[in-house]
This record gives sequence, structure tokens and C-alpha cells, in this order.
Amino acid sequence: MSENEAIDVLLVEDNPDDAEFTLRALRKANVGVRVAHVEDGVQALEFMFATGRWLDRPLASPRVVLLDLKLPRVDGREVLRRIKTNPRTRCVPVVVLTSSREPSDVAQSYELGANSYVVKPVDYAELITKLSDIVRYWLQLNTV
Amino acid sequence: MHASPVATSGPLQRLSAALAGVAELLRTPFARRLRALEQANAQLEQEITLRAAAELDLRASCRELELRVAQRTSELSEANERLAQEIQERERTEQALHYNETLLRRLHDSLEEHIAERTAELTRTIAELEAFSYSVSHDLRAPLRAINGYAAIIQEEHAGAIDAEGRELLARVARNAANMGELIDGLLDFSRLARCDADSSEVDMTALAAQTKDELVREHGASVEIVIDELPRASGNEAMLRQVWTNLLSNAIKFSRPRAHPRVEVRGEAHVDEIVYSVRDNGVGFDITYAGKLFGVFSRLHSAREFPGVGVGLAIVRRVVQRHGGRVWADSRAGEGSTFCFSLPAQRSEATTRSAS
Repeated sequence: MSENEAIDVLLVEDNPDDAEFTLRALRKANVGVRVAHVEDGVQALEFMFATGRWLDRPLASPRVVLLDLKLPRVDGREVLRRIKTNPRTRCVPVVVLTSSREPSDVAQSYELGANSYVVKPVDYAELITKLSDIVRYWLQLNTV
Repeated sequence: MHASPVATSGPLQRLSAALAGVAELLRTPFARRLRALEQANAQLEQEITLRAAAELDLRASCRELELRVAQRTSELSEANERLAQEIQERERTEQALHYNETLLRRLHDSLEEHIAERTAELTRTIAELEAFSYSVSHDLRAPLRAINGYAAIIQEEHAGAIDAEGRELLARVARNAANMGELIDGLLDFSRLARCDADSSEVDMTALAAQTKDELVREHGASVEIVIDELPRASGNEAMLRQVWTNLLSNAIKFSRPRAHPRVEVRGEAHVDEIVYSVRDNGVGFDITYAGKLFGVFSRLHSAREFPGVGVGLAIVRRVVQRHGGRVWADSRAGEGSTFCFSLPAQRSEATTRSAS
């Protein structure tokens, strides 16, 4: 993936296995999207606001953000809050993608402005289906 | 005094008689006076005797009175002493009481302090437990997902590189990882019940059971006939009671589906102090000998191969019902279906409304 291309999906995931599965799910969904993968909250924010390593990226926001909640450095909730409180980025759909089934995490994510909340299932086939569906849904809704 | 018969004839005799008469005359009042005096004297003496006797009586009475006064005085002084003692005792008791009160207050304060400390400790423990279950939820599922995922990828994308047995073994790896994921989820659901707040309100149990039925039919199809009677309303936490209906109905569906005409009946009956709800199915039933194990966590009476599940559904039912102050029980005959019952305390507001109307 070239850093000069506009990105469709930003994947924020620190677990390499989960990142691998998500990338595979996106390939299987066959939506032909360009995906950027970052591994912590700081990188996610740098990407969203085109700073740091992403200073030169095309200014267009990704069409959907897949965001894990438990992240190194800046945690997923804070990333979500910053995205949803900034006028430039608040319209970007954010799908929370997490292992946590805690009702408090679900409620808090929606309060912070999450557009969807997906619990990563243990079953691989189910994970692939869920991710394909949700990404396709948000990409279609947020077609440029 | 008598006149002499000789002197009655001569002057001298007459004089003498006269003199005698005079003397007699003179003598008569004197004698009378003397007698009178003697009488008076006798009276006086009698009077004196009486007075002396009276004086004696008086003296005796006086002595007696003095005795009584002395006795009374001594009694009074004894009573006084007793009173003084009593007052002293009372003062001592009051002091002791005051001391005890102070002691009690100090004990109470220290108890309050102890309770506050203990509460803080418990709050910390609960927070730790929450962090623990959060960590379980988050961290333990990730490696399971990886095991299941990679096993699936190998099966899908590298099927040619391994033989049939290898593929079967990989399928088992994936299945076990998925099972463990379900076990963890079940355990978390169960432990979440212990720490969530249970706001209570009046619940329309007929509507709640019907909604649950609709959801299950959407999920599993309408292969099982489910009949829901008009159920008495209950007082409780709606989300938790919904979980009770979900678990009981999905169990009834699961275990009656193998039947030719699977049927589930939901009933409710209000008694004086409790409302009893029941879910009856005509499914495979269970051996009543093991009824005691039904409501334990991870306890199952059928193999996972026959009927999938992790064995927390009924444990959750029991915990929810017990939190509501009710009880759970079950009856069955193997091969003839089962009836699962739970009771909730009779609704106080309903009783009040009834008596008011």
C-alpha cells in the first residue's frame, strides 16, 4: 500500500493475530479497499489528523475506522472521543472492534459516538462474516 | 341526844331541859355540818384517789408516747440511712450507666470505622474482581481466537498439504478453542450478575415471555409450538427476568426439538405470598436423580454432542431468581419432558391495589 493513496479503511489493532484476521476478512469481503493498519492510539490519531508519520498523506479521511478499545499508549476510547469531537473527523464512521462484551464498554462506546460495536467472536468463520458485513455496510453508506 | 324523864317537872329541870334543847339545837347543825364536812372530806379523798390514779395513767401514757417517739425516730433515721444508701447506689448506677454509654458510643464509633474500612476493602476487592473479569474477557479470548483462526486458515488454505486425519484434528483444535470461548463468555455472564445493579419495577411477564419467544423463533425457527398463558405480573429487574425466560425457553426448545410434535407451555399462578411460573416441555427430559445438579455452574446432564451448550443457563436462572427472593426447581421423567419452575415473591403493590379497589 502506498502512502500517497487515499485510504478507505483505517484498522487500529495492536494484536498481530487479530490484525491478520481482520485484513483477511477485508480481502474476503472483496470490497477492494485500501487499508492502513496502525498499532496504537497515538499512531491512530496521527493518521486521522495527518500529523507525524502521516503528515504527507492525502487529506481525505478514511471511509471507516475499525478501532480496538484496548490499545497501547492512547487507549481506544480516547481515540474515539478525539475523532468524534473534531469537526473535521466526526462524520467518519467508527466501528469499535473489541474482545470486550462488557455492557459498560458498549454503552460508553456509543456515548462517545461509535457507529457500531462488534465483539470479536472466537469462531473464525463468524469473525470473517461479521467483519465483512460491517465493513461493507459502512463503506456503502459512506461512499464518496 | 335524849331528854331525861326526871327533869320534866321542875324549873331547873325545865331549864336544864331547855338548855339541853338549846344544846341539842346548837348541837344539831354542827353535827350536820360535821357530817357534811366528813362527806366532803370523803369525796375529796375519793377525788384525790381518782386524780392520783389518773396521774398514774397519764404518766404511763406519757412514757409510752416517749417510747413510741423514740422508736419512730429510730425508724425514721434508719429509713433516712437507707435512702442515703439508695441515693448513693443510684448515683453509682448512673455513673456506671454513663460509663457504659460512653463505652458503647466508642464501640459504635469503632464499629462504624471498621465497617467503613471493610466496605472500602470490599469495594477494592470488587474493583479487582471486575478488572480480573475484564481481563479474562479481553485477554483470554484473544489467544483462543488466534488458535481457532489459524486452525481454520490452515484447513482452508493449506488443505492440500495435510492428510484427512490432520484436517480432522485441526477441526477439533478449532472446535475446542471455540468451546472454551463460550465457556469464558458463560462464566462472565454469570459473574456479571453478581455485581450489576438490579433496579426493580413492575414487569409484564406475559409480554416479556412473548418477546423472548419471538426472539428465539427468529433465531431458531418456529419448529417448536410455544404456548404462553396469561401470566401474573411480577416485580423485579426486567433485563434479568428476560434472561430467565430466554434461558428457560431456549432450553425447552433445545430439548424438545427432537420430538415429532415439540410443544412448550408457559404458565403462571399467583399464590398468597409467591407467584409461580413454569415452563413445561415434552422433550427428552432428564433423570430426576440428578435434579440437584441442574442449577450448578457448568453442570450438564446431557453430552455436548447431543445438545450443545456450556451449562451456565440454569445457573444464571437460579442466581437471578434468588436475587429476587424466589426459588427454582424442576421435575421430569426421562423421555417424557420436563417442567422448570421458578417463584417470585408476591407483588406488594398489586395486593395494595386490590385491597384499595
